Order: sequence, then C-alpha cells, then structure tokens
Amino acid sequence: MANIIEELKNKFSGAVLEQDAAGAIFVPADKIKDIFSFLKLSYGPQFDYLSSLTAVDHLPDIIEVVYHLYSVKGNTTVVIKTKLNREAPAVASITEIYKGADWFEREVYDLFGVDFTGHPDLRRILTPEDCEGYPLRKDYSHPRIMIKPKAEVKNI
Amino acid sequence: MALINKLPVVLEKIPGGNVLLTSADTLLSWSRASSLWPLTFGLACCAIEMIATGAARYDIDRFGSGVFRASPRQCDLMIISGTITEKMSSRVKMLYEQMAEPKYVIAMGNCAISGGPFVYDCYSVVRGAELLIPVDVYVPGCPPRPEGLLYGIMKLQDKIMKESIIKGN
Repeated sequence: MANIIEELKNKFSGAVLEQDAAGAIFVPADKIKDIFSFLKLSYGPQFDYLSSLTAVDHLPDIIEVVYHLYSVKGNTTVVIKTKLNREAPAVASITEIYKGADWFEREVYDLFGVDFTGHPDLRRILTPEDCEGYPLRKDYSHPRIMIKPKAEVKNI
Repeated sequence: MALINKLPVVLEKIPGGNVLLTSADTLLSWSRASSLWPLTFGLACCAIEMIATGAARYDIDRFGSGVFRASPRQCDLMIISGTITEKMSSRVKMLYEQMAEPKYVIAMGNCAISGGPFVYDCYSVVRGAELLIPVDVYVPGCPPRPEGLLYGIMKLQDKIMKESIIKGN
C-alpha cells in the first residue's frame, strides 16, 4: 500500500494525496482519469477490476465518491476516494477506462445526484423516471416515510 | 358469455328450470375453482415459497393450479408474491388489466398485504397491493409457508363456489 502512494506521488507531483485511517487514498477530483488510467495500465500489478463505485453523503458540504480497485495478478485491493462539493457534485466519468463503471455511475447519479461528465448514458436506473430528488442524501424526505414510534424499554 | 347471460331468463320460465340453474351454477363455479391457472408473478422472497408450493412436496398441481402461465392473457389467478416497489406498481396494474374475467388476486406475504417490514422507513415501497388492484384473499406471513399459500387457495376456491350466474357474479 505504501508502494502505491509513493508511485502516485512521484507520477502526479501536483496532486495532493493523503491517506485515511482505514487505508483509503484521497485524490483530487480533477486528476481522477489520469490516476485511474495509470493504475490500470502502467502500474506494476495492474488494477484491472473495478469492484465497486459508491458514494457517501457527509453533511453539510461534502459528498465522497469511493472507488474499490482490485488487481487479479497482485491480489491486492486499493480504495480511492474523492471529495466533491455537495452543491454541484461533478467528477469525470471513468467508463472509458473501466467499462463496468457504467451502471455504477448511473446508480450514484440516481441516488446522490453526482454528475459524471463524459458518461455515455447518464439517467436514472433504480428509482422511477418521474422521481424528484436524490433518495440516499441525508436530507431527503418522502411523504411515504413514517416515523416508527420508539418502543419503551421497561425493566421487568 | 352472452348465452350464459340469457340462460337464467329462459330457464326460469320452464317448470323445474330453477333446479337446472343451480346445477349449472355449481358446475361452472366448480370448474373455475378447480382449475385456477396462476400467473408467474414472483417479485421477491415470497416467490421462493411459491416455487416450493409448485414443487413436489407441497404440490399445487393437486388443486388444478399446476400450470403457471407466463402470459396474463392465459391465466385467471394472480398471486402477488413479494414487495411492490413504486417502479413495479405500474407494471402490476398493467398485467392485472390484461387478464381476462373472471380473475382473482391473492396477496401473498406481508409486503403485498401492507408493505410488510418496509412500512415505516422506506420511500419506494407501495404499502400493499390493495392500493393498486382489488384483492380477494390475503395470505399473511414473511414469507408464508407453502401450506399457508395452499390454505389461501382453498379459501379462494370456497369464495368462487359461492359465485352465481343468476346474480351476475
């Protein structure tokens, strides 16, 4: 893991990279495509499999997009995160590099509202076509949601 | 069915015609109840229990319902087994409208009855099939056992036996 950070820092000298407590690597949003094509094509154990692409909503101002990459030859996983502005979250789409990112990015667009620039077909995938709003954001509400009454804990 | 509608009017005037009518009623209701062909409409986990009901141990075929048809035009029973999401609800209505009369609906499982475990905190689940289409029998359970579904089908058969062409049901 330290290896990857070193290589990335050497290759992308202008980028600010830092590490999470769990070992995830934070990269700036504008360098996403370069970093991913480097990791897929030029890096030693090539990260040829995108296992997962999701997002996390941090109130009040950040949405994080999380990428999980796996290398079959090297049997390693690396987690890459970017922080986006919650007002107008946008990041480059990596569908040209990893074809599997297609529907992942559609799902993140549908549920969080992150705009993936350069995506071939960005539209809603899980919610109905006339749904307004982005359901997995923390400030989303819907008339159907009922608050469950809190059960009283009785000491018997 | 036009001949069936004119039959009571004709037969009532003949002496002994009423006996013939009730026999015709019983015959028609019995034949409908004994060969309910279900639509393959498994939406979620209840579908597994519906499949188990169709398999060898709990055999639904002994009730005449062994042939699950994939097309709504060919069946007369819709077993809604599973959670109905908002995106699926328009398809549920469309399939129900494509079925030919007489048609019956069994709501199988808690999700089809009232939204089930998703009734409180979910934005996308329709709280029960009865909000979309008229339901005849409710089979509770999460999921109901195959014996439960068979009991529901037996109750539906009792309901059908009470139908009558004289009253126009």
